[in-house]
Amino acid sequence: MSADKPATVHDSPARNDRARPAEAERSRPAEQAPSRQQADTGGRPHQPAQTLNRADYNRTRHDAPPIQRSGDGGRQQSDARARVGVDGERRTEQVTSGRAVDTAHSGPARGATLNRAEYNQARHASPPIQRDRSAAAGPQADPSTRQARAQESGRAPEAHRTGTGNAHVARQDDTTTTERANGDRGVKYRHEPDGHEVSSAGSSGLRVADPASGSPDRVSAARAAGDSTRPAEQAPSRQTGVEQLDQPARGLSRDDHNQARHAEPPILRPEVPESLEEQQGRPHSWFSVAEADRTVGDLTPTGIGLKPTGEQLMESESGERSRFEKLRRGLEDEDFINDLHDTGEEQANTLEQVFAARHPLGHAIQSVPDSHYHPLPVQEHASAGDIVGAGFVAGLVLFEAGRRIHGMLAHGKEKVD
Amino acid sequence: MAVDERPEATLRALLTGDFEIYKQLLRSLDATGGRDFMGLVSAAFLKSVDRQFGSADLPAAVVEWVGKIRSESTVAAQAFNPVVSEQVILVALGLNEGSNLTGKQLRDSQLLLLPMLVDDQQLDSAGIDELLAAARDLARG
Repeated sequence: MSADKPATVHDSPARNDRARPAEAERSRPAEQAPSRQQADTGGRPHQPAQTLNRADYNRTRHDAPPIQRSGDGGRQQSDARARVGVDGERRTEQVTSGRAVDTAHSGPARGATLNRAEYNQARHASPPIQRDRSAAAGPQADPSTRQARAQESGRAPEAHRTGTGNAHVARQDDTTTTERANGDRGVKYRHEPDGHEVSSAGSSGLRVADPASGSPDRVSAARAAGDSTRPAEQAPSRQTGVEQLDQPARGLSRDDHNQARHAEPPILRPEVPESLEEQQGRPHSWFSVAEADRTVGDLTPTGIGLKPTGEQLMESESGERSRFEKLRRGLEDEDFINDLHDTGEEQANTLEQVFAARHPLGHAIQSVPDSHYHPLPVQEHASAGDIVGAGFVAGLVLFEAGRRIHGMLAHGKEKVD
Repeated sequence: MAVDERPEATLRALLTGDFEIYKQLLRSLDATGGRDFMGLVSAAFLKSVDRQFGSADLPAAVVEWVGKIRSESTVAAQAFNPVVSEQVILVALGLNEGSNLTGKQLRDSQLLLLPMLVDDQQLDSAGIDELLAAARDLARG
């Protein structure tokens, strides 16, 4: 904790309880680690959003002091460098250029506690780590693939995993980000199953001080050596966690993500009533819609009567059942069956006659005349006999006509004479 | 033949024109069977009317159809009362309450009009089976 910073505000007894001397922290049983881990890593960082209004929340987020880790009482802090123990249990992680946080790993429930303001500040300064789901492959992940991803995102890995793979890559751009932030630095801590705690400065890089080289950006050889001495069964889980931190964000780059977050802080609207435009198309107790626009599932009252049920809607659509019941009227009469027997046979006979007239039985026939008279066939063309007969008749007519004309002329001469 | 199959068999004989079988089966029906039979007749009549006049211009199409049936023969003209026939069809279409019709008029008209409707629609054996199935579903509710 920086000396010039105000004292950490403890807003809850639980957090006050975490402010313990380092020795006490180290002696805490390992079973308490998970609960502490959840609190420290901000498992529910949005708790203030439910109690503060937007202005208070934003003011808290922007005006809070830099990250401090409370509860480390007599823990020593150095400015520039962290110390890493030979046994790998105690190490110091550089957070900013002027501040370092000493993290003791012998106690798994060690006080890596951030108060609300600090946590918000950390979130504001550094975007949350976007963990690639593909990192779940853990030890099976291909290092070359990770390197290629890093190159795609414009970042060149500065160092690669060594030893058992527990040490991980520290990236150059993380250093740049840290320096740019210059005291406004966010730290994320990840507790590991073996009780160790690893801090990550920035969104993707994890920085471990190297006592040998003195460079915080290099992979610690001591850590690698310490990791190599750990049980083998712990390596995969740790490696998986580091892999997750090591994965570059997909989609937006870090700068884009930061710009987007700072340009438009999240709007908290748990208690803000929705506008009418937002409620359009949704049923509401006081918002009525036109009946024509309603759907079957819409429970909005129309103001007149009760809405029909599903069966009523189906019934009104076809009316088949009601029509059927009307047609069945009179079936409960006492003499119904006797009347049915009597009229049934009569109607059957009637229908037989009706269908007989409608569809006569047998095949179509042609009527044959009863007379023996057979008319001569009419010839359409004249034959030779017809021509001879016609010539003979014509000759007789001409001969007779000539004879009469000759007789008339002879009779006229005699009168003249 | 099972007892519960007689109403449907009776109706099938009526629709297929097997009137002798129809008469025999009709005589074998008791009161319950007669009500089941008439329920099937009413359901089949309703389905047939819907098919015949579902997309027609009502009630003009009904009047025209009844007039056509009656004009086919003298027997048909005497058998079908035009007013009662039209009203029963309109009741089936939901356009008339049929309050001025007696139960006997409803029964007799349906028994006369249903075979004419099925014959007009030229239903084959499969079509009659389909109609009977739909009528059975409607009658059993």
